[in-house]
Formats: sequence, C-alpha cells, structure tokens
Amino acid sequence: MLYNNIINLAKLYMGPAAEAFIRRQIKGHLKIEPETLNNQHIGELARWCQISAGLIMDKEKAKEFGDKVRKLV
Amino acid sequence: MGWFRDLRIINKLLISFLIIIAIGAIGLLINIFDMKNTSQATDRMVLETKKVTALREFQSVYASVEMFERSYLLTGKEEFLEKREAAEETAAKHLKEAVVLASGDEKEEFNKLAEMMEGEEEFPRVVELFKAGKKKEAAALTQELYGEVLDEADEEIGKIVSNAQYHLNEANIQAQQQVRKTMGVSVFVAIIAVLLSFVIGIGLANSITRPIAHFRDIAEKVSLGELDVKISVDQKNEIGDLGSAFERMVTAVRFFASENEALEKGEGKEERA
Repeated sequence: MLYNNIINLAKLYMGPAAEAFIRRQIKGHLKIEPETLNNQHIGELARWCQISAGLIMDKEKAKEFGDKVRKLV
Repeated sequence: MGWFRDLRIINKLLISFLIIIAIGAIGLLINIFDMKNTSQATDRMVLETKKVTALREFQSVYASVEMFERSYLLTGKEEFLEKREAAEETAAKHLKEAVVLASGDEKEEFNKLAEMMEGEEEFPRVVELFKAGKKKEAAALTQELYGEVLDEADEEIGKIVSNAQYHLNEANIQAQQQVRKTMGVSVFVAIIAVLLSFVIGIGLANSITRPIAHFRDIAEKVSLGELDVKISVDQKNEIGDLGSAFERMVTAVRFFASENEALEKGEGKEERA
C-alpha cells in the first residue's frame, strides 16, 4: 500500500519512469526489497528520492517531491 | 495581467471577445451621444431655415401689399383692393409662422412687427376718401402712411430678416462643425477600437502560441538527444498542464537514459572481467 502510494506520487513527477526510479532507490540505497518497505524507511527513502531526483529534474521540484514522500507517513 | 495568463484558453478567448465587444459598444455609445449633438445642430439649422423662409415670404408678400395699394390709388380698380386684402392675409400668415418658430428676444421683435402691421390699418380711410372723390386728401394720407410708417416697417422687416439670416448662417456653421466633429470622433473611436482589438489579439495569440513554440523547441532538442533542457511554463491552465506533462516525460527520458547508460557501463565491466 505504502509502496503503491509512493509510485503514484512519483508518477506525477516522472511519469513512466516512476516505478523503476523508486525501485532503484529502495534496492540501491535502502538495500531492501520494495515489498518490505514500511513507515520506518520513509525518511531515508525521501532523502534519496530528493537527491536522485535532483539529478534528473529541477532541484526545487526534487525537494518538493522528497517532502511529499516524507509526508506520506 | 497574471490573472489573464492563468485563465483557461476558452475563458481567455471569451474574455478577449467580450472586451472587444465592450470596446465596440463604448465606441458606439460615444458616437450615439455625439450624433445627438449633431442632430440638435441640424434641427436648429432646419428651424432657422424655416424661419428665414417664412420671413422672406412675408417680406415679399408685404411688398406686394404696398404695390396693390398704389395700383388701386392710380387706377381705382376694385380688384387691386381684393388682391391687397389677400396679400395682407398671406403676409400675416407668414409672419405668424415666423413668430411660432422664433424664441426669446427674436419672438418679441416679431410680435412687435406683427403689432406694427395691425396698426397700419389706416388704408380703409384712404379708400373711403378716394371713393368720396377726395383724391387729394387720399393722396395726402397715403403719403403720410407710405412716407414714414411703411418705410419704418420696411426697415424693421429688413433688419429682422437680416438678423434671422445671420442666425441661419451661424446655425449652418455650427451644424457643419458638429458634423466634422462627429466624423472625427467616429474615426478616432474606430482607430482606438482597432488598436485595442489588435493589442488584445496579439496578447492572446502570444499567450497561446509562445509556450507552444517553447514546447516545440524542447521536443526538438530532446528528440535529438539533448536532455539538458529547462521547461519554463508558469501558466495555470491547459498550457501549464501541457508543460507539466512535458516535464514528466522529459524527466522519464532522462531517467531511462541514465539507466541505460549505467547498464551499458555495467555490461562493459562484465565483458572486461
């Protein structure tokens, strides 16, 4: 449920790349399987979402995205 | 104009259309107001023309009254008396018309003239003397009448007609000036309306076509592999929605491109190993 919410949110910022982007953050940086994602991981995930999104989009938008991920809990 | 920029395109079109209609309506109202002044000026001119015509008719017919009186005294023919009577009635009718059309001081002058005309009913006395065979007395009385009173009346009529003609000329000049002013106002209003419509049209066209041209340039660059592009659309309408969708699409392309690059690098390492 949480994972799907994050994907839906990410779709607003990166469309078809949303799922691949979020999976990469979870697997690559949190070192966990996406299915095991829970509320405790959100802070770290939000931080990595902001950093990684900042590489492919406007920094301000990336921050906005990170903040929204953080607020999902 | 930020509020206008953020409006949906259909609302932009509607508002622009309404503004242009409003400009046209204001122009029309200004013209109608001005036309009212023109109408008043031409009405005054028509009135002055009617007045001068009535006075000229009166002057002309009144001259014939004198002529018939003299003809009677010379010939003694009764028909000149009848003609004089008829001419006098016609003259009085024309003067009455002029009195009706006059106003203010002019009306007073015309009324005085009418009184003067009524006061000149001395002629029956001349006729009586003439019929009684007292031709010398009749001639003396006639001389008295024509010598002073009628000359004075003629002078007065001439003055009045001349004044009326002056008023007519003045009204004519005013009417012409008003017509010229109305034409000027119409042309000015039309030019302003066209210019404003032009400015609004340009503004509207720019607010729609400029962002579309910006998207075209971005699409062109992205399609050629240049992913370092900045999409700058801050409108909160269909154009803004299009900009957001475009931005998502470019972000996705950037992500997939970076993924692909990472993948290629990984495969390269594996091959080298």
